[in-house]
Amino acid sequence: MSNSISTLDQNTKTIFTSFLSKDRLRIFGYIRALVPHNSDAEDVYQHVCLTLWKKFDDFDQKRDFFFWACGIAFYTVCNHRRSIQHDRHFFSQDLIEAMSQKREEQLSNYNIRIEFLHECLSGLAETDQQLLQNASFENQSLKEIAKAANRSIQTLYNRLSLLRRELADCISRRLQSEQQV
Amino acid sequence: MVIQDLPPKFEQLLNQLLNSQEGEFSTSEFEQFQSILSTDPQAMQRYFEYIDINSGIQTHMSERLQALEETAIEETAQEPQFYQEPQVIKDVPSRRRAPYLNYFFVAAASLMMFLTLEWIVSGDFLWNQTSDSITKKNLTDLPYVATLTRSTDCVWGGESPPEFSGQRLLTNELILEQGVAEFRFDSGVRLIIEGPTKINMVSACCAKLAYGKTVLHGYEASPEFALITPLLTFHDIGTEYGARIDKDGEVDLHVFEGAVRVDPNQKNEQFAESVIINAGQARHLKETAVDKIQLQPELFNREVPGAPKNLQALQQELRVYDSFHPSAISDPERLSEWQNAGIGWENPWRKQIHSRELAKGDSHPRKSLARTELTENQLGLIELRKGKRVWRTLEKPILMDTNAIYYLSFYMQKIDSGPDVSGEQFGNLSLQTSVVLEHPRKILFGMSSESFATLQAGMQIVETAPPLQTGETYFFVAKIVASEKAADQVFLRTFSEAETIPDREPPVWTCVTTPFQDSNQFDLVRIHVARQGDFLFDELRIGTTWGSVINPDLPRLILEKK
Repeated sequence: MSNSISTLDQNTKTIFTSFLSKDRLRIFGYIRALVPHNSDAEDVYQHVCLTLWKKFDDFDQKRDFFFWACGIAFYTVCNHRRSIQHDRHFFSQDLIEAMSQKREEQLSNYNIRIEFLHECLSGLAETDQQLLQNASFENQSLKEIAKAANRSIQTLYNRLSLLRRELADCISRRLQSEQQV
Repeated sequence: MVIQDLPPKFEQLLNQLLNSQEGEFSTSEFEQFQSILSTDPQAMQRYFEYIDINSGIQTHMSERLQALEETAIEETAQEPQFYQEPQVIKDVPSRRRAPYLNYFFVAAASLMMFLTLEWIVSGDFLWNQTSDSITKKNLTDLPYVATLTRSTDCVWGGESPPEFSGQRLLTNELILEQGVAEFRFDSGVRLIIEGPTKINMVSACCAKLAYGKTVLHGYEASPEFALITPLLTFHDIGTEYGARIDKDGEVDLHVFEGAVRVDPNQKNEQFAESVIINAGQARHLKETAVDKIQLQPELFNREVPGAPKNLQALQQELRVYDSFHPSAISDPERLSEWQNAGIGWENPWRKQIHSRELAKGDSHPRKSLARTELTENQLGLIELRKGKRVWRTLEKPILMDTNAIYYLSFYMQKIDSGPDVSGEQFGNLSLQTSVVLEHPRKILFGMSSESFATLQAGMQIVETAPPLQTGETYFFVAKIVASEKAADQVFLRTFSEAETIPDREPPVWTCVTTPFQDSNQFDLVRIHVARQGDFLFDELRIGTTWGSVINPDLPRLILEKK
């Protein structure tokens, strides 16, 4: 397959894009777990997308795209780990290997968990929802949020920890009741 | 799973990792976190759950990833030929191909397979492994070394000619076919070149000149500036000098001020040591000889010709003005309607971005912070306090995705809120976008709560000590360099009441960002004062030249015309 978009069959690109759009959040979720910082995860995600695109001709469309993508993502994470500067945090190779398998399994019910997350989130106070959303944007530091909200950073830390725990427990409860049904 | 099953420290570390920006998580904390993850399956499970919560909360996550995909895949279309796989070779078989060509193609195919393999294994090519070939981060790493400050009748040659005055220049080769141009290097040194001249910007302290005419104005604080010609190198010693360099490398050097140290690029018997040429002297220099010639300053353009721009010309360059002058003075005066003054605005100052409600703030209709005398219809300033924000939409937005220079100026004074006031006391003016972005961007100028001059742009916050004084009026002048294909940069200078405002852009700035990427269209101006802050603002201007935002007579003319 030529690497130039102009020489590619447009249909191939359409098929590739439809596969990717269906699984992009899960693929990124897989990478994000293996890479401690979001900006590194985004870099790896770009590399993975490029490789998936270049190797898409090799992909057997009867197979599961997500698992194929995870295979490529795993090696890309490992390569990225080797190439990254030493002053940046990165998990050990052993831990990456251990986590990758667990993460693939755990992401099998990703969509339902995200659905529950949104339900649980809507049950929180609006200010708490806003705090979680603001804090999840990497470019907005807690210091800035604290400054804008005229609250101490420690207060926000504590609140965020509590909210994450509440959400995780809420999702877990809903998953359990779903299984019982 | 019950959270109490996990080591208590883990929950804390996990939250810290998610809350912290890069670098805020220490190595020992990270090791501890990693160790728990490695040994406790429940911790790993909790880590996955929290990561999904963090990502799942982000409403535009999918769009963000889509943008990353597009960037990555688009890059492949721009990659050079050697990224292409061997099938390109298969497309052009020739029945009459000479046998040795088969060997060539096999070798080429092997090389390409090697390159492809190398890329898959390392994520990049051998010669490029440290850089990121996919993201556009590299652009910001290119070093800016100078600014094209002025140019007259210039015709540029070469592959990447400058496109506009004020443009920041990367290390690059420039060919000026005709005309006169002035560069200000980031070291402060000014270089005026006259076409035809071929110059290569090496760094903020060094340029190579293959041929042409130049005048160099040294800068007191600058390190020695090296001008390298084909045969000789000139070092300025507090200098103004002119040099004419022939294509064969011979140089006529005329020293107007200070002195110049000349070194041959290759030492030889006749020219074994440095030669100092002092002010008032001129020399014809070759690699092996130094001959006296008559000093002739008139041979050089020591400044870019052209009279200072008249007010009519400057009018075209001032795009936005607000004197905060109310159309009528109310009783009490502070309630006078100041929200609708000025030119270049789409609508009045408002309380919120999408609201029609007029902004609140006290008018001082008979006062001004301006240091020059104003006409009656320019008088007026506003006082904002207690967390006030006011918004106004620009008729023409500030476009960061094109090649353009914008200047912005305003007066600002922090009022003493008394000894008992603590907490946030900042005040600022910022350019913002009305489009809701996942990662909101702004360019902000003002005073921090600690009274430091503050500049925010891209992801950068630049603050400068010492603090600005409460009760003193400062004139803020900012320069925004927007580039379509290169990085952007923002400069801020604060002038105290005692300082003279120069007619030309100064070499020294109070706050400067490093180059960054921004392609936003800033169509809003916001003025914001913290809950405990109390600030006066006056005479806001946005233009395309330094002169248009500092000339004291220009607003009067604009208002008369209006």
